[in-house]
Amino acid sequence: MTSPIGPALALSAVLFACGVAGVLLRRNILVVYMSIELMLNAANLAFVAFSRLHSALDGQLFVFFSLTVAAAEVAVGLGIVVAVYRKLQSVDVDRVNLLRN
Amino acid sequence: MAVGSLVVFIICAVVAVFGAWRMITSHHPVHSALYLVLCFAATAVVYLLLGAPFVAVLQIAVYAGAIMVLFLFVIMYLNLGLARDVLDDRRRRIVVGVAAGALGLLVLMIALFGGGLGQAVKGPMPYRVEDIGVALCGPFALPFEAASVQLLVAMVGVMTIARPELRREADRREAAGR
Repeated sequence: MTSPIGPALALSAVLFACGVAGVLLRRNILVVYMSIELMLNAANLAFVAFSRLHSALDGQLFVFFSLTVAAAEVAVGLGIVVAVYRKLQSVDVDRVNLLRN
Repeated sequence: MAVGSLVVFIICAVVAVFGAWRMITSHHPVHSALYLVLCFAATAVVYLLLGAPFVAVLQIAVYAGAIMVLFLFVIMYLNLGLARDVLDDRRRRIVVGVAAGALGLLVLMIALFGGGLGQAVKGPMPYRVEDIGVALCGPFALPFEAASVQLLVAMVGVMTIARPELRREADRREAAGR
């Protein structure tokens, strides 16, 4: 079995660039969160590719911890989205400009 | 590199990039979420090609299963309509497109030509899924416990953020008990 390391890293780079473009282009806070998830996923792909390159398990373990962080981040982020929507009746990131009240 | 795995990789890569691109450009948030699920599923197949079946299953179960269902639940709970925000500012679109493209191209060039990473690694991955479990209970036991504490803190934090009336009630009880 052979594994494509370089192409996998290239795919990771393209997915990360897509995530960056999504964060910068979109104003819908949910789509911004999804783009952040996409970037985390691209980083995970790079972790797994390097884990394969060095035939070491550490990269896959880092992916495990990165996944728990992503899950916690999504839960907290969506909680904030729900709170903001109750306050502003909107999920536009440009309208979220208050620290309190 | 074996032709079979290369063909599978190319198909999955095209599907993943297509899903990511449509996720950014879809007007409806539900469409964005479903295209992102497609992208994650294609990435899971790439994980299998890279000899990481555990990560592939985690990807499907946690990302495509739990996280994206949470996203869809919130989108439908908030009853969000069409998002008229994307692609409506031409100058911003061009600037962001060029910046993201340059970033992607830069990392792509480094990945393909820097340090001789272009070659494929032959032979099976010398670890199995049970080795991950052993590592999580051995040298990675402390981070593993920290991850569980982190998830607990996130859960409590979400309940505090999303339901401020709970916090107010707790404050009132504390004041009454004093």
